Amino acid sequence: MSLTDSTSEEITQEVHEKSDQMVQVEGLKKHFPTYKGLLRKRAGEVRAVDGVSLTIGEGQTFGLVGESGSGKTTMGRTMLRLTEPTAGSVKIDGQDVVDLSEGELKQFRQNMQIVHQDPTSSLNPRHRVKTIIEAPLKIHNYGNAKERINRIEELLDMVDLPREYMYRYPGQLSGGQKQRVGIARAVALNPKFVVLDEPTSALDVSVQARIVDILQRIQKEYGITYLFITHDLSLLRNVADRIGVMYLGRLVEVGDVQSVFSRPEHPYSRALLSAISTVNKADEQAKPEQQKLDGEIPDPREKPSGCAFRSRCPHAFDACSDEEPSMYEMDDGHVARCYLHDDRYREDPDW
Amino acid sequence: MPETLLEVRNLHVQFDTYDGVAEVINGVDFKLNRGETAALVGETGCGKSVTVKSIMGLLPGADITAGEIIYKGQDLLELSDAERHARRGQEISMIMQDPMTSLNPVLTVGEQMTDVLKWQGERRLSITDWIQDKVSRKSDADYRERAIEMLADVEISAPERVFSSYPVELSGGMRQRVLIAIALLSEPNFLIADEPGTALDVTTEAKVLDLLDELVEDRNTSVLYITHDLGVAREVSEFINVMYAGEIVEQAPTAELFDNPEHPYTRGLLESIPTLSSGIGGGIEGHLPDYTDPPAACRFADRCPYAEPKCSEVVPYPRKTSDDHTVSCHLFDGENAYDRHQALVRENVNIGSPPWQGGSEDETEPDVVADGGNSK
Amino acid sequence: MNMATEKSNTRLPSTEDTAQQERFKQIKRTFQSFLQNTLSVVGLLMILTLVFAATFAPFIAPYPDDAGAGVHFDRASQPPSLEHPMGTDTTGRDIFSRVLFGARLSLMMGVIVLSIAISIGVTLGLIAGYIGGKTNSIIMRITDIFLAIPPTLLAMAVVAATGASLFNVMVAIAFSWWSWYARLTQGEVLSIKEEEFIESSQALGSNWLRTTFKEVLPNVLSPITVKATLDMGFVILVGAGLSFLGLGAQPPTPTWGAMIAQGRNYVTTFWWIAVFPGLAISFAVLGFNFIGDGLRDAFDVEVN
Repeated sequence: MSLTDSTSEEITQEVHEKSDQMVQVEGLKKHFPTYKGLLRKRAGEVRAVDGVSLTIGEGQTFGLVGESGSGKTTMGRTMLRLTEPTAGSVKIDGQDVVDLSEGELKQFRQNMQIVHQDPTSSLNPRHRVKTIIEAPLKIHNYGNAKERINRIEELLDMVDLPREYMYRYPGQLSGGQKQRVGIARAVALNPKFVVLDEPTSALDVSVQARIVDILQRIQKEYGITYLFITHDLSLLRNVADRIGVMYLGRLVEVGDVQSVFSRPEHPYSRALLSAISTVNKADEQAKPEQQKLDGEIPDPREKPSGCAFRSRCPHAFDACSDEEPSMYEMDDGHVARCYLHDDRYREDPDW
Repeated sequence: MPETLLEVRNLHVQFDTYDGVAEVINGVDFKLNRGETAALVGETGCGKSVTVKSIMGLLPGADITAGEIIYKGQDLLELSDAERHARRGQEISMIMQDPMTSLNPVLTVGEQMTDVLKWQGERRLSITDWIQDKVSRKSDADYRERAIEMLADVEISAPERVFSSYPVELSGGMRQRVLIAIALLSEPNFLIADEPGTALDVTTEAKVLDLLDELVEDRNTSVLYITHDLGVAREVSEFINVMYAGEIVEQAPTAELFDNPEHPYTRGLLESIPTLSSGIGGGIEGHLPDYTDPPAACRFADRCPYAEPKCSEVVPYPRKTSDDHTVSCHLFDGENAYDRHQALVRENVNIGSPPWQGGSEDETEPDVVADGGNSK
Repeated sequence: MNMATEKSNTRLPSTEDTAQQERFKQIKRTFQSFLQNTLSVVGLLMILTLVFAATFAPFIAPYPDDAGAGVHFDRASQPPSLEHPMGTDTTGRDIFSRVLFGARLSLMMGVIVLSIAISIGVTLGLIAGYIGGKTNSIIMRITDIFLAIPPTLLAMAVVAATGASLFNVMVAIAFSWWSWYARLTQGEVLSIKEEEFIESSQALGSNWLRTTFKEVLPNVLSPITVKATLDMGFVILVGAGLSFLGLGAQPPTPTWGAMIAQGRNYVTTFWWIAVFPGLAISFAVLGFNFIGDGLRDAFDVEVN
């Protein structure tokens, strides 16, 4: 295990040089101010996303995993500027989204879309499916009425929905069907990048598998780049090329999915992996031993000093509370933010 | 010899809707032994919540047209409202699915817990009772102590503080633990847990499930887990009932079910689960039937890749494929699992053996034999 | 391994037909839940009667000419009888016929006033609610001012300035009524704004104009419809009040309010001159109230 004291920014640079990156995020931050009292005085801030950098290659799927409070959902939304970033840059196909003006941004949105977690609330209950899917087409002046209907039919075929469903209301669709409409809408204009914000979390397992199948087919056909946000590691194992683990607004481990799953290098990743529920013996052996974590995710307003994970980490020691560790690289682009990989501290035998 | 605590027999539940009568539960049989943990697994809309609420007696709008729910030898459906209410909470307790909405936001945790202890079994609180209680302020201390003890039992680290907090101040995991504490306060013999981990993070869910495991073991409580996740069912239960469209399609002890899944629906579910070692399947195409116009015979036939025309004509009654493994599918032969089917004319439908088992095709077997089950 | 085979396309005639079927089913459902409520059915019948009366007044009224000026002193101040079911007034005109024609005026007034009020109020409410910030503050403060002034007083002021006529009365009432709709709409918009599908529409690149009118508006229609139905009754009431005060249409126009005014000195003697128009007003207000309540319940069901 080599020790490189590189910052994640530096690592990103290296990867830049290697291949064509569709998505390049650098130092992205999103802080929410908090107020107290009747006079609403500024009391502090919640650092939902606190300096995250990552890259995604064209046509690849990057899995972003974490529990609630990790900031993964905020990450996805901030990248699309659905909420304004506090700092950092987000380059999509070379264009820094943060630099764009309002008008330019609206135009640019054809290239980047989102599929929301809750299919029920992300579709306007008063619009028919046809209107919902047509929306992006109309907004960006796609052809005439006939051409739009053709495109809608094409999209419905792609997500395995009967064409007649065009005239239904969301209330008449099941969860899985609604989510397919959401997907059809998101890819209507052939975007280059789509953020999938827990697209299957609200669905049953059998429906989930179908949705994943559809997403993968679409990716293959159109070469779309995905950011797949979820808390379900087993799912990511099957859909992502690379994976990033988030904890309290920071990435704590990043790497190829094969690498991270077979050798999780951060205690948090290990704990997450060990908590996966399994259905066969092979899986049971494939995952790490049960790791119980102390307590729960701390309030983001009260992040522990140094390494944010130290309050629950079974391997924490003194150095962990002084300064946050930087990313340490193993071979092959697999990095982890933990002092256990720092040669200076190699004492813990459990590791 | 395991003692049967709960036995549901031939339960039929229907609802009156604007579109007609919805026959939701269509003949459900299962049982739960004392001290056993069983799971009721099925997708959203399959009727597991309706079944469980029928047991609890929490479905005022429903029509229970047939069946018995026998708890400790007594048919709950024959009891009066008051008697059922007396059992609810004391004998049979339920942990609801969503800890966010199941706790009253305007009462502190402590108040909710002592309420349960004080008024257990009382159907209606008269104004005089309530006033008397407010005025006398008597043995609240006892209740408080018991409540705090229970909070400590569910591994809440600062039980006194949580006792005086409002639900909104607590995290999801804490709230779920409070719900568990409330459910266990009255020391029920039978606990129903409705998807207790769904609203929680994976690591918290793991801890909560472990906790429940410990607690019920200590107290020898019987637990029925409702979930749509076979993985969770595998971790927590000894026996699994797989439900589809208001019917139980397969029942077996956990290990047996995973080693030998029989019903195509069970197999479909298992294949859909993303795994670390063998990838993810294609899911199950289609959706649940319309309960106001359900299929005449097998309710899964239109989604089943192994369906034959006979599957839409003859009802596949539950049959035993081994001592403890029951399945409702024509692909399998076996004795009728439940008495009620003996009375019906036994229709011997042979559609060949399941393709994944190989084996010969029987040409000489008659298709339909009306003989009361005497020939095989 | 994929267990799926697409089994759905053994299907129906055309997609348009299915759309029709779906729409039909939905209307049927809303209707059925509406009909559950006896009171709203009663209300519906009442208003249908009113509309019928108003539409066919010239044909139903036994003495259509009495709707205008007419002097028949030989039948003045007759109590209700077979020939004059509601009696005659001091100049001998048949009150029943006049009430029927009055229905036309009342309904027309209600519809016109509410159309104006809703167009202005809802638009302002949408804009204020969606854009928020300063725009919201400005619009809502203006709304507050109008809400604070009693409609009758405002109407009197407007009429005093412009002269007494039915048209002026309608404008006057609309002038203060829009503010209720602005406030109602703004409130609804504030909560709908937080819904995820609004953010979805923004994510697609929609501008505020499109989002407000295409996405938000359809979702605020339910409460507005309920309020409008209830308001019909109240607008008629306020209009009658103004007519009573002589600010509305001038005689001989048979507005219900004016008719009550004409009969007010005879309440103890020729009571029917004032009472029947008054009953007509109550009938209308009650009818709209009953329907409004029923609609509110029916819409709740539909939304669920």
